[in-house]
Amino acid sequence: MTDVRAGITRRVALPLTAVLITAAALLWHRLPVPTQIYAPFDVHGSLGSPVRGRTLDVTVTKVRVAPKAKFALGQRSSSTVSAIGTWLVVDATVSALTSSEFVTADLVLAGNTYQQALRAPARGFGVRVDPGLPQHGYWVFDVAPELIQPTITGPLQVRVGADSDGRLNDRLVIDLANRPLESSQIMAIKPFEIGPAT
Amino acid sequence: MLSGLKRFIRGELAGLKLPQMWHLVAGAVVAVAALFGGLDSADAKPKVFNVGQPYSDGEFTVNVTKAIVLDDVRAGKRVMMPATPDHVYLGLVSSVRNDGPIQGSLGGVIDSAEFDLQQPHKEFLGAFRIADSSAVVALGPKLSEKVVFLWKVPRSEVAAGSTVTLRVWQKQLREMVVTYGKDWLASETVYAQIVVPVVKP
Repeated sequence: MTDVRAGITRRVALPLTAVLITAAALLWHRLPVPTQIYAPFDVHGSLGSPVRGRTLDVTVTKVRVAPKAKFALGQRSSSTVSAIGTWLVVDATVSALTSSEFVTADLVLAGNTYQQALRAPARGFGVRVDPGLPQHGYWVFDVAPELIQPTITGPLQVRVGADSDGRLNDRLVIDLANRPLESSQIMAIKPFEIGPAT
Repeated sequence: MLSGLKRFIRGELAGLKLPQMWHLVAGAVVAVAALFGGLDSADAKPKVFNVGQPYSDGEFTVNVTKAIVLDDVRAGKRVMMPATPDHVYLGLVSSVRNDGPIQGSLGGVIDSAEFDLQQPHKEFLGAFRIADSSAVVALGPKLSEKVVFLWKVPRSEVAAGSTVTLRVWQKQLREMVVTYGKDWLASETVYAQIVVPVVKP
């Protein structure tokens, strides 16, 4: 009996080890990555209607596109800056629901992710959004013109979250392609305002 | 047939000496390491590209126009960087296109520059847009722009008529391990090299 068992073990051990190592290697290459494990919880909505998550309530009111933008810096001064591609400005109202939040946003356009433009001379929102004091401002992105003109290729979404990387937090994913973009040669951008909607 | 083969392998294995057995074990270890992605290809020879020839490092496609040497850097009448007795400014004029799906850094305070200048003494000052001389820290996906990469170098080391060598490191879009997110990581071994003659502007 022990001889038979030893024979079977001897015959099976090597192929079984090979199969186990191969299976382990396959599994290793298919392990979930941190951006899947810690992905934010998306709350979907669209332009024109309020989108409410756990920390933020955001209403996108307008999406504007122009190669040049005149940013108001104060009462009398302004700065006109031309985009590398074209400016895409998302006007929105942001409210914090329970506590003060550092709001961040990025833009998804046809599979590409755009961060807010560093070349814009003014801030679109305050450093912090406090509860009870909604802010009316904008996010500005410098995007490749061929992706939005003559028609938008692929999804156009703004993703708004309450901290820098959004790990395991709520994130508002707002679809912007349900209305045609407001296009011009130059657009005027007002400073952000704090207070109830006017 | 099968049992014959088995007997042959058994015989071969039994005939092995100890050092030869170690070779077999080492072979098996290398094979298993390769299965788990633990082996890198060794490519000792760098790629070479030339002025006016587009080159893609995975993230950006660059096309170098020229290298210029300047006493001071001016935007119109405004002096951006003043002349000094010991240093000159080296400018590399190139178009850059971000081919990737995320924002790419052209080299700022924290990140290393897109071009790695092979000079013993240098200070990278940033990339500047030729159209309006504003600094370009980062370029969004699918955007292209003509920029000048600027370095401050000792006057004795770079002059018009000489050449400078620059490296562009190969980049790969990867999941971050220590921090969170996806970003371009430069290779530590694979790069392409360009030799550019330095001219007066």
